[in-house]
Amino acid sequence: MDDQMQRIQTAVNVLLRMSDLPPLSSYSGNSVHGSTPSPGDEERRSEEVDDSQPPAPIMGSVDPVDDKIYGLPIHSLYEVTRLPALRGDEKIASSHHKPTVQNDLVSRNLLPLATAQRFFELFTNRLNYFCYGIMCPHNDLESLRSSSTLLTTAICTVSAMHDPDGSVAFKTCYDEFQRLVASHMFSISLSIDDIRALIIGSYWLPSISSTLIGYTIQVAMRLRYHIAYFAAIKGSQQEAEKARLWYILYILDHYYSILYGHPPLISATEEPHQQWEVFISSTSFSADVTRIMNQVALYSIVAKVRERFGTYSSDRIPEPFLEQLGAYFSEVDRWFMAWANRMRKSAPKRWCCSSPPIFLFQSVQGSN
Amino acid sequence: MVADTAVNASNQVKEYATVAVTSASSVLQLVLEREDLRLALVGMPTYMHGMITFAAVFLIKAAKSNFLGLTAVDQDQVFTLIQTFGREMRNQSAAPQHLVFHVSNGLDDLMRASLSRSDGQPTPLDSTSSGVPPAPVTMDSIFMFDTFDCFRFPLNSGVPMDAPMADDYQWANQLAQ
Repeated sequence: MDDQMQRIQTAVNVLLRMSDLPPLSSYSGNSVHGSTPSPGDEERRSEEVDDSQPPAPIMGSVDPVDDKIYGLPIHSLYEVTRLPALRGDEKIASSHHKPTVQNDLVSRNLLPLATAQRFFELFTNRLNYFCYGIMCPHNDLESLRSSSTLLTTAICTVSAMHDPDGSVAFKTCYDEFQRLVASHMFSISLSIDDIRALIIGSYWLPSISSTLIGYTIQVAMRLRYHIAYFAAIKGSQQEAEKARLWYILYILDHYYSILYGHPPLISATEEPHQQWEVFISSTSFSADVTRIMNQVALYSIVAKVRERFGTYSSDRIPEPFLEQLGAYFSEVDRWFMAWANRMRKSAPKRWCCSSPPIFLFQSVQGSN
Repeated sequence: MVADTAVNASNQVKEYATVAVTSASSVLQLVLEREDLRLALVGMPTYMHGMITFAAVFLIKAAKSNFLGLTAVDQDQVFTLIQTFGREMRNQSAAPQHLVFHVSNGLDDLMRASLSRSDGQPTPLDSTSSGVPPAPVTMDSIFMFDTFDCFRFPLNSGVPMDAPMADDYQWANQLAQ
């Protein structure tokens, strides 16, 4: 009986997805929409509620999505197969599964509510600043919990790590965070808060940061964050938010490519990564955005050095090229002069100050 | 690069080597001098910890061998700097799993293994006796005037580590060339 119920549930979820309707769990329980009966019956039950792709073929009748001739190749593949995992556009974001507050680590008694509240405040009052202030757009814990379980868990984990009394809580939250990320691994529909959660993990958790960053960039690209810049400079607030998150991913990518000495995933020559002035002038959050952009501007210099000298060779740099290294040092000096004046005389200025000497001497390291 | 090629290294390479050592010590001194950076030790992202640790480890290894013969590196000053830095990291307030504690323990061990000291006490820094004006090795100085000034001065600036820094520091002495 249970087995049959499970099969019916899975089949219904598939149908709902194909018709671009919300998943089964969001209904009150009396109506199920479906266009055509699907002969695609599942033989295995799916464990996860929302996005798992049933392995059996889905062979309902297919209505054309639209008549557009020009589109991405993946759109054509989706159009004829309707396999949900092949959707390659922003429709994915709108169909993401709403989190259940009943199911997060507070409601499962893994973390007391008071502790979660303390962690939330620690994050929003202090830690959020270190990631340019855009990691938690919620004013209270309730709003955060109802928006994204992943983000709630990420914030609790990182705050616990920064709290002297947070050792035990950190272990619990960290395990829960890893479990949640792993269960979302094959999900194609992550909300903007889920992306924030992944960025937080890459930013502060040293043991999983390099793993997370690659995955996060891939998901963000799937959700078209890398081209949000173009709509953002025309005035779209929602796209501006995505563009800012994309820039943080870009900076993180450059950080880890320096730390680990491997090529970055995101190219530095794309227009959004070169036109930082355009982006700054288009946004109303210019103080925070300036902090982000100064790193983007610095990285364009690093990218030039990397392109010239490469990162793999252990041979000595030939003498004539050493002069050019001096030229890059001067560029960094100019970068510092230009940006130090733009930023307030406070921590942000000192913050960007620490980068040039690091950059200088690590590039000299490379030359020796 | 191997040690025996150091004698064949051009002046330009040696200059860059000096810049590398100066930059690395600047990074650590900056974190120690600036209160907001010190406070940010718990809170900054993994990348920053990685690069600061890179600077510290590089200095320890460079001090051991005078950067493979390319430039003079003051072992005592490096020892004191790393020790102060390690102490500062240990004083931070965070959960025991935080990276600062792992790094400070590791740096202590690395330093003990690399820089052998006969008496176990840090040597108090003596003023430079070479007659060369002390090298301005702090962050602001590098970018406030001509970068190439840095190439002319040795690392050992003769400034005691616990001297008042920043506001009280007598910049006039540095600028009077």
